[in-house]
Amino acid sequence: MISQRAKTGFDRMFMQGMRASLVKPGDEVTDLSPVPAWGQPPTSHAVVLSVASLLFRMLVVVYFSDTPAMRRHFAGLSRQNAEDLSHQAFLDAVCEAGNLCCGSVNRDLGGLYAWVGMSTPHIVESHCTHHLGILKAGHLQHFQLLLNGDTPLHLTLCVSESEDLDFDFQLPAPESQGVGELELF
Amino acid sequence: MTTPLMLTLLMGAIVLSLLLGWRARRLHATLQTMVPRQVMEDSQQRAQARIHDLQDQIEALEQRLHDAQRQWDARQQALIGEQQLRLTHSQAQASQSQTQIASQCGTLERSITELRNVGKTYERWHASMDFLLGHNRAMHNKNDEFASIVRQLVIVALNASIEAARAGTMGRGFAVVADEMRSLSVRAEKLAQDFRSSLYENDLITTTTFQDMQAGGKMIVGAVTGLELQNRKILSLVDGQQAVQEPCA
Amino acid sequence: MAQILVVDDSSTVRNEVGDFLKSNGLGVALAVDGRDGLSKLKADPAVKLVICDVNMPNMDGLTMAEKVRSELKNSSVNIIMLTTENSPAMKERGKAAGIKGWIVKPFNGPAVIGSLKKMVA
Repeated sequence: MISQRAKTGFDRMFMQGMRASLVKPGDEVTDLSPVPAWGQPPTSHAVVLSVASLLFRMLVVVYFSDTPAMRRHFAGLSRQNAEDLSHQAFLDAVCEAGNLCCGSVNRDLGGLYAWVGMSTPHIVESHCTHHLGILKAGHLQHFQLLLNGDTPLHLTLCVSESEDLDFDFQLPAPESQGVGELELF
Repeated sequence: MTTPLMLTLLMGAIVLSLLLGWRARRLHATLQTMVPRQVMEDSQQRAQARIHDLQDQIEALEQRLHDAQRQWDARQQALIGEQQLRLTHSQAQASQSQTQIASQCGTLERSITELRNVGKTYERWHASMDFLLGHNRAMHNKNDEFASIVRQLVIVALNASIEAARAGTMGRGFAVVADEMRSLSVRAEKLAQDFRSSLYENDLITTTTFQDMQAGGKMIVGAVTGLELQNRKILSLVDGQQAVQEPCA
Repeated sequence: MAQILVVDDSSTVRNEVGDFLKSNGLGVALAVDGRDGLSKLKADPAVKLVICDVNMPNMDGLTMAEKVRSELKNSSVNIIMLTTENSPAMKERGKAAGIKGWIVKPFNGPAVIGSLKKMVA
């Protein structure tokens, strides 16, 4: 069983990760909130990433379709030109955004659990996510991120525990995370 | 005799008598304070005897001190000897333990190095994963083709029913066959949809299982790296201890 | 001639980092994973700096760094990891492999370009 405060902690980490990886400078976050399950997947495809610990496995799903709006958004995140983006480059841009989002959660979990590991991203057809129930998650939450009032992004967080989970997570100060800086040895 | 001379003689006599009187008074005072000789001699003898006694006591005490010092020195030497024996024994034991620890650390280091090669397993899994996903995609494609054929079959069965109806009584037998075909096509279409759903489920299971193995493997490598670092710290502590002990040995 | 080798399985990162470095007058080569990175470094020993991801299929970045020292016997090239990871155990493993630094993604070129230029000078 996952305690309520642990579920809140997971959601906080995930929403922080979304802000860090899916919002570029100049974007206005109109809405970032949990939403009920959707009947049909909102897009054609999804990027899936996993974090493994001794006590749980966590899945992050970022939904996308190859549309002009999505191309502009993901190209902008990596400072590329949407018009010059090949299909493979677009897929790589989405995978990298997912990698950054899941990586942020992975770092936060690393502060709570001694040993965690993260997978590389994989792309699946979003119809697969109908079957997330087989993972028997103790916490399954869908999110919508709305940028500038017109660019909705959909994500899912899925945590399957093997033992009871309970922790209290508070968002760290942004400057304490040292993101983007070179740490010399 | 002239008067000045007589006066001088008289003055001299007066001064002399005064001096003598003063001397006599001084002598009398001195005599008052003098101890009789015999008493003095007795006191002196007693003092000498006392001094001899005290000297004898001092000698006796010096002898005792000397003896005690000798005993103390002997005792101290014995203790030092015991301590040195114990220290040598402990050092030998410590040295033996350190050698054993160093040997165990070496074995652990080799095991950890071998375990780190688990990374090669990921490469094998990754290749298998790619193959499995490719296999799944092929099954999707085949299913899509099957579904397409089934849709065609439904249309053909419908057309057959229409033609059978046009043929009137002559086409009654054909109509039955056409109906049967349509019923089978509908079942096949449902099967294709179910199979498609199973393939999506299969894709999710394959992807999440592989990712769990990949992430889990990294978690294990992280734990193993932590063990390796601890092992190195222990080894360096042991080496440091041995370096300190060797000059003393 | 390449001064810097950028190793990442994501073309997004390779292009983003590579384009930034090139715009700062630096010669750049690219590799798609640890195995490719090793082979490119072996072919071009003039490379002075490797900027490398950790989580990659085939060979990961830390294994690549270890093999640069042990198999290529190259102890002079500077290696910096560019990754979402920041666990102490990984950093210790990197230090033991002789890496020079660690950057947590996303890449912030202006913040690090001064230090990177010093490493290839």
